[in-house]
Amino acid sequence: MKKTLICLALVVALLASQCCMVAFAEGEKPETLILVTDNGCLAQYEMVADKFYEKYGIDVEIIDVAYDNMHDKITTMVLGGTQIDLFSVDTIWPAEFLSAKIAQPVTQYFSQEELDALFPGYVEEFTINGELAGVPTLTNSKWLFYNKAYLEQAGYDHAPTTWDELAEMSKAVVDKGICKYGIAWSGLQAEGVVCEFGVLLDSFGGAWQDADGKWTFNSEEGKQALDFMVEGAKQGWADPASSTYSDRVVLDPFMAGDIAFVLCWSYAYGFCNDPDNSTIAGNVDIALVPGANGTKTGSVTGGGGLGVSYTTKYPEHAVEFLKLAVSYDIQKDALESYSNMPVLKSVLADEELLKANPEFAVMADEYNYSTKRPTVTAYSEWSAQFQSYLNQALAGTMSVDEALKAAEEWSAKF
Amino acid sequence: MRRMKKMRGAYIGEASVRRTAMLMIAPAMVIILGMNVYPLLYNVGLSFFWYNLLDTAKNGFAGVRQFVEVFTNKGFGNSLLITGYFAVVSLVVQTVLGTLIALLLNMEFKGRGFVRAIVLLPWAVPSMVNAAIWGWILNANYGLLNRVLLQWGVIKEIVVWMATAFSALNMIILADTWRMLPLTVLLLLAALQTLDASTIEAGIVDGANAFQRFWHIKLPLMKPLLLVLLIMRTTQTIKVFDIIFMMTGGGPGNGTMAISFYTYYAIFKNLNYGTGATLSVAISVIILLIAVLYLKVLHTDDPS
Repeated sequence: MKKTLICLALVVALLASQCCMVAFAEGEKPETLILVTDNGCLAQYEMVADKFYEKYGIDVEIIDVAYDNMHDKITTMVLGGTQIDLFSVDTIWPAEFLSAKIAQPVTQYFSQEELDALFPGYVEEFTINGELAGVPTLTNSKWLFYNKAYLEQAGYDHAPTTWDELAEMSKAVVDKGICKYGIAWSGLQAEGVVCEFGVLLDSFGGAWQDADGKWTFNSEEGKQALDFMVEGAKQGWADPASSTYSDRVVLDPFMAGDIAFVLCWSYAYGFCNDPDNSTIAGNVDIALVPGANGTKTGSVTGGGGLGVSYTTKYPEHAVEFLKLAVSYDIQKDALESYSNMPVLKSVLADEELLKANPEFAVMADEYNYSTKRPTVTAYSEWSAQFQSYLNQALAGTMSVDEALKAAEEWSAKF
Repeated sequence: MRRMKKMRGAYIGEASVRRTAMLMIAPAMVIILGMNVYPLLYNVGLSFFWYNLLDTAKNGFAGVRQFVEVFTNKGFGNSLLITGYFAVVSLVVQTVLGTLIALLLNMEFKGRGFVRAIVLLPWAVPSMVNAAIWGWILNANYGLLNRVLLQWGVIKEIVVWMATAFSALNMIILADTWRMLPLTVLLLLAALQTLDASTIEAGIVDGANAFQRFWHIKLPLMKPLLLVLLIMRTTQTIKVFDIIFMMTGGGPGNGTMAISFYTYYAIFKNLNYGTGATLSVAISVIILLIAVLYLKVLHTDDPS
């Protein structure tokens, strides 16, 4: 009898504790998580949201904004106290987001093994003073896109490997009346012009900063890089309206068949080969960015990731979303379905995938050479003025030397 | 005694009505205080504090030092000049053109109603759509303006209208004028139609020509409405934001960085709320001073 009573008491206690655990879990488990992202990442995160619901039974409401408005949307929402859980983080925002307490550090949630599975350069971009401001979920870089039909008409059977060769091919397509100009640059006073200069600077053998953080872009290589961008329009082989193109608008003359080359992010491959958008669909190919001064190639890193908001009540669940976003299946699906380059190294090691999509191999190769933009806490403030100097050089209202000198003086304040 | 009671009764009734009225407007007052007055006062308070989210070490009481820092900043002077140029050129062009068009539309001619409706159409276009339309019109390679000018032989090669700061600023004024001119026309036309016909006829009898009738009779009579129009449009032009956001983003070379856009950058891009608050206060004071100036210059108790 005593034994029966003890057993009964144990069973009751066990059931009660189970009930308490269920109640605790249900009390803590959110019905919905809110994610703010831009339309470039939307499709990939919708895919993650579906898997997340399957796995945890939690809905993810996605607020989709234009990229240009995303920074302001996130900062005003979080700093204004609105409860959101996750948001996209561009590679240039981690320092700012950690400093302003917009993104909360997620360092303790990720093991070294999990981080080692990702491309190290992109993890490094999200790491500020040893703290992770989120995780990269897709990688990007700028590549050279070219119209292979135009090059064939001009008598070339390969993409240019040096900038001199690109200038020569550009002159040829213009002289033969194949198209209006060889190349157009993303020269508008916007973030795109910093990326464009970053590509040229890196591929000409220059660098933004040295190992001690001293600004070094106003070097011989830096001057050659900016001069190359400026001189093309003067010599008639680069689009003179380049100073008005954002890094999306620069695709318009390319897709209209008016230029033979353009530098752009990975999405351009699918976008420009889509007959709904482009008059040159099927003729667009991708190559490594040309080099100069003995440099094989060079580019700038892009892409982005996800951060966990300071205003979330459910950081653990938000982190689970982050982990799912960098899982193998999601990363592979995003690459195959949307040309979103993975951050998970193992995806690009899949030989079958590379065999079926040879362009992925070219894309992956550029990652070995791409460098990041400068790490500056007040990046937006630094970049806004920096863009202005580059834009003025491209518009011809400042000389290359003046623009780089002014940009150097400005940068010294950061 | 009975009368006093009656009066007393009436008095109590009025107080009760007043109380009811106060109760009725209380929710609206709370909303106005909460949504307008409190943020305004908070902003004024914030303007005396360093409050930068990206440089928290300096945050704290600043007194007037933040105003000094803002006013001595080269960027502020630049944005003030740009805003001044935008406001003055826009107002002059729009007021002169608006007056001429209003005078034309005030004349009797066949199809006047139709022409009046057509003239008002651009005003119905949302500001963002207007900016997008003009962005395409001014596009160097595919824009209508270059196409027309090339066809007419006015230019020999494409002009990149948005490449230089001065050109871009003038193009923004053009786009803004296209959209806002109808408002000026509408208000001035309304003013013209309220003028006393006998006064104008008296001018004709006295031998005044059309210009004299306009300058000495119509214009003075239109002064009160002109005052309203100028104050309204000055405030709007000083606060110009959306068309710049859409067309140039403050470029090229910060050449279209009007003061509102400069403030937006301080707050939302640089996360420097203290500087942003100081700039907002400065904009409000500038607008207030201009309004007072207009009132002093243009206000007359007796327009006749």
